[in-house]
Amino acid sequence: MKNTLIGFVSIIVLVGGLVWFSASRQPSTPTTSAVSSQQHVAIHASAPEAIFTNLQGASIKLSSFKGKKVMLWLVATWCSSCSEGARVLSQNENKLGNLTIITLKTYGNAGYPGPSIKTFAEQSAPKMLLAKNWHWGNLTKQSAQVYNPRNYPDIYFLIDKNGVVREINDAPAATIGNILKFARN
Amino acid sequence: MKYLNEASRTVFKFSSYRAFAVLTFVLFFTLYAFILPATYTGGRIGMVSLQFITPTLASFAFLFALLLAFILPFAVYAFRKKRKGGNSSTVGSLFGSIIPPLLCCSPLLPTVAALFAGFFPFIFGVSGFVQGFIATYETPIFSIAALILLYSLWQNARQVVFAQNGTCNS
Repeated sequence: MKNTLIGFVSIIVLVGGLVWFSASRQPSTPTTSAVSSQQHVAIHASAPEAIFTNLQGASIKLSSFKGKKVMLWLVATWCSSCSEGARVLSQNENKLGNLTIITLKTYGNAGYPGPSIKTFAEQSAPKMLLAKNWHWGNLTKQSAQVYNPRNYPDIYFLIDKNGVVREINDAPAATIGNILKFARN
Repeated sequence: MKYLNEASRTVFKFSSYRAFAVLTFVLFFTLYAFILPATYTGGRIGMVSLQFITPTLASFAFLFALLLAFILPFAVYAFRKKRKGGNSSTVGSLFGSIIPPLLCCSPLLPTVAALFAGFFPFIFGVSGFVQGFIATYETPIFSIAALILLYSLWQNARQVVFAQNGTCNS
């Protein structure tokens, strides 16, 4: 009986250890890494210029959205948390107010091939393809070097009306509360 | 199937092994239910995971936990039986039966593979290619892990039967 008890405790320790290991390796939000890797994007600093091509092939500047609250979201189209994020944002469309969401396929698709950003949108949040506050496109290489030098597959920047970065985070599905709070305030 | 039935009858006639199986199932189901949805949460594990558990992930969590609930008691029983008729310690049996002797039949490898398929893509720093590959082929990876566990179950059931009958089959 004693041995059995010790066995059970060992299993608990083993499983607990696995959970602890997993939890301890949870990614902190990519904020620090993104900021430390280059000095262009930082919280409470002005958002650097970014250029992307939209689904119609037009070249758009991030600065053209000044005066609006913007969520600049860089995704890899193979990324599950990205498609889940698009779905959750779409579900919360009515709560997002006037937040402008710019969803861009990050340059190189974070190192692994995947569908186009249009296909990604059609599969994840089809009705948002026509939403006037939601823009889809591809980030240019130069802008990717500024906003996503480490090629994260899922990273977003909340930028206020004055063009100041207020938050850098990832996985909108899991952090929807932060996005809604930013949209409301 | 013959081995599985016979091994189940042999091992689960003992209440301690039945309790071991239940505990294993509960622990591993909980573990998988929290960890497998990490693919949707950017690697976050906790209560947030439960919001994103899908029927597919729940099925895999259930399947893995169920298979492990059979495999671990079988492995421990067979190991103890082979070692002087069950006189070795449970702890030694547990680790001895899981880790070194039969890596092909140990539940460790597929378990870790399944856990990391859910979680690995979001360890930042891992190359995008690896992340993308794992994320793209997540379901096949889980399926392969389940198949390996099934094979492991069959192997361990055989070990139980051979150990019980005193047949050498190492």
